[in-house]
Amino acid sequence: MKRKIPMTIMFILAIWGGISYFVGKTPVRNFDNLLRNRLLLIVGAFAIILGLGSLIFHHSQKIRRKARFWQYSYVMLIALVVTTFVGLFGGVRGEGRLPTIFGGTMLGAHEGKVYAFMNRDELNTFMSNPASYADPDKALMDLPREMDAPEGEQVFLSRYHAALLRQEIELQHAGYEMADEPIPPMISPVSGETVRYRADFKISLQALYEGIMVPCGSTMFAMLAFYMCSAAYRAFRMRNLHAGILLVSAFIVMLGQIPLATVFIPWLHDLRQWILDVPNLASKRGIMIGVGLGASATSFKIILGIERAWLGGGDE
Amino acid sequence: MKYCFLIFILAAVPVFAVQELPEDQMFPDTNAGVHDDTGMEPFVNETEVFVEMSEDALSATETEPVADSKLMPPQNVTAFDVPHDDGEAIMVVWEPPPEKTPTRYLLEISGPDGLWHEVTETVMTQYRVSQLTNRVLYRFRVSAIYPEGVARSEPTDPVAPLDHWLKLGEVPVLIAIMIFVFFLLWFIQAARRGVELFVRRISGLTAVEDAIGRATEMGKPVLYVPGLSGIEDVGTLAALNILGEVARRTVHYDVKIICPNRDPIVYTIAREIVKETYASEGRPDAYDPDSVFYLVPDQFAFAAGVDGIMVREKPATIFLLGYFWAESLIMAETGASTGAVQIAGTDSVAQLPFFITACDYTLIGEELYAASAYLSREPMLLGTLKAQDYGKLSFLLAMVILTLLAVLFGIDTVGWVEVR
Repeated sequence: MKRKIPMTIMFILAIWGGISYFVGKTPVRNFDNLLRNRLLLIVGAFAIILGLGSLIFHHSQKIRRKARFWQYSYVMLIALVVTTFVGLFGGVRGEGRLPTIFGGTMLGAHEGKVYAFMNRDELNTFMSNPASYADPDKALMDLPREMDAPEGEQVFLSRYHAALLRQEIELQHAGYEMADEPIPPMISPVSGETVRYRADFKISLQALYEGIMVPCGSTMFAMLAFYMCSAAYRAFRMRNLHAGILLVSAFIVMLGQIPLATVFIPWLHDLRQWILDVPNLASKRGIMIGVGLGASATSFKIILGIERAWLGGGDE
Repeated sequence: MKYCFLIFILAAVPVFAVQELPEDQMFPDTNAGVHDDTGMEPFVNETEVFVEMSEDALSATETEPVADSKLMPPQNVTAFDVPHDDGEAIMVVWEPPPEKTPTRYLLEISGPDGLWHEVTETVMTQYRVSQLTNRVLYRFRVSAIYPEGVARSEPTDPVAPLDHWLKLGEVPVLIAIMIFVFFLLWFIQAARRGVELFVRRISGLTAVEDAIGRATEMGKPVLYVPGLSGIEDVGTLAALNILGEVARRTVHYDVKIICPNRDPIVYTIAREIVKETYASEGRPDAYDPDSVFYLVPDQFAFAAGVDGIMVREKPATIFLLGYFWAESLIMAETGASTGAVQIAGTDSVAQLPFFITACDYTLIGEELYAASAYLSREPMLLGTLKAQDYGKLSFLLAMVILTLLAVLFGIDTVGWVEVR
């Protein structure tokens, strides 16, 4: 039973997947989408719980055993707790219950007009959809009537934007006129008349992602260039005939890519294109046909229950 | 052979359905109105089914004048539902003006709101408008754009996209699958009868035994990365199949296996595979629940994590099997720098050169799928390898024959096999 049930489920779903590929009726397609997207998401959500359990267990074990570099496991566990806390209470874009902003934003005055500065993404989001900053606290209630949204367009602002607006009103009262259009945040119009400036940082999942994950990922990706150099060095050593052909082909393709080389050798570009379009593409297609057939064979082996390694070993 | 009948019955049902279709439905007369599976019916009678255009919209669009009367608009503009598809698409075709060729055409659509919206600008004389709503009537008009001005055609008759039972454009795929399944079942039967099947030597797979033996001698672990893709990828399934065989050998040799995962579903299955393998080999006590673990979902964070494991644990053997993206070289080069024997395999054509360069053995494309059969030496699995070879032979023959027919006799053989 331990094997029969998953194999039966898999067989039925696989046959369904095959049928839905050839049937164009909308109900069939909708049900197929439900299986592929919604149900897979639910299964994925449960699997993530298992994955998190595994992650915590793995690093706890390392700390307990004092395995090599066990200190890094503390970094991982602390990062996990902080990220979860920020995600749960700070929201993806700072819409949660945590104080989303340290300080505020830049307010500038120039030639008698006040400009509000936000970062580029925030400004774009705010200008395109002010309602996305809806706040149940109804921050606008404390504002003077003349600063309310235009008639028929009820706009709610977050606590942060309400505070920002209040500052602007104060500046207005001080004799400044509000500018109609915000100046793009990357251009500073504040030439000696800056009224306030404060750092802008949100406690949000997006801030953590953009501030930590993206730079780290970019660093790893950038290292690829150096790995490519060392791999190319190894690949282009002329150990035998095949490596020699590879070296010559690569040399022509790289040289043909350079505009200056094609000025001196006009046919180089055509030769490069021929190498890419004929021998290179032919071998790629050969591999791809093999991959297609291999994938089909693997699928059929699993559907028909011939291949059972994915169920682990053992008897029924 | 019981599977053979089942597959053929399932596969044959839509084929018989095609034969029963009347001819007028295969190639609908687009001037007659909207067609359904059950026959031709004028759209004016379909008020309960089709969302019609408002009277104002119809009158407003039909009386709009041509922008420049001296210039000729596109001729015979017709719109019809794409036959035997999954709906949401209408094909619009037109002929170029007889006297002067315009620089391009502007295709516009009008839906139930009666307003005209631009679809595209093109130099072709046909366009497949997609992402429409089934059973909603649309009209189209085409403007010929000249340097001197624009000449607009009359709007077409309203037409609605429909979904159909059989996607006729996929029939070549169905036929190819049937041929392949025939080979598959034929060779499985042959293997069952005890026919000895020759499978060529794959050096990357022959080296698996030696590589794990090396890990035993060195007293170091084996690192197994089942790709970065999800479970829906067949390459991942193949990698998981091989994981079972590799785990079986690590049990025999009493070597530690380390298997980090990027996808939580793949992690769950990989863990079960290793756990079950230990149990089935009579060593459930030797299974370390910490050997298969979930690392991180981010691509480069995963690469960094695996690199860290390679540098810290110094595994004697590294398996990089499954589907990889740009991180393939980062991991393979780091593994090479640690001095480990590396066996890689992927069906991602773009990453193969990196693996070939940085790894000791590389399973190229289909060899990844063959690995499980090759390692287990089960006759039925080996039969599927022969089926793959014969499938490739069939493709090769088909390509040669169709090319000869096209070149020698001018037959449109591309149209026979084209998937629409």
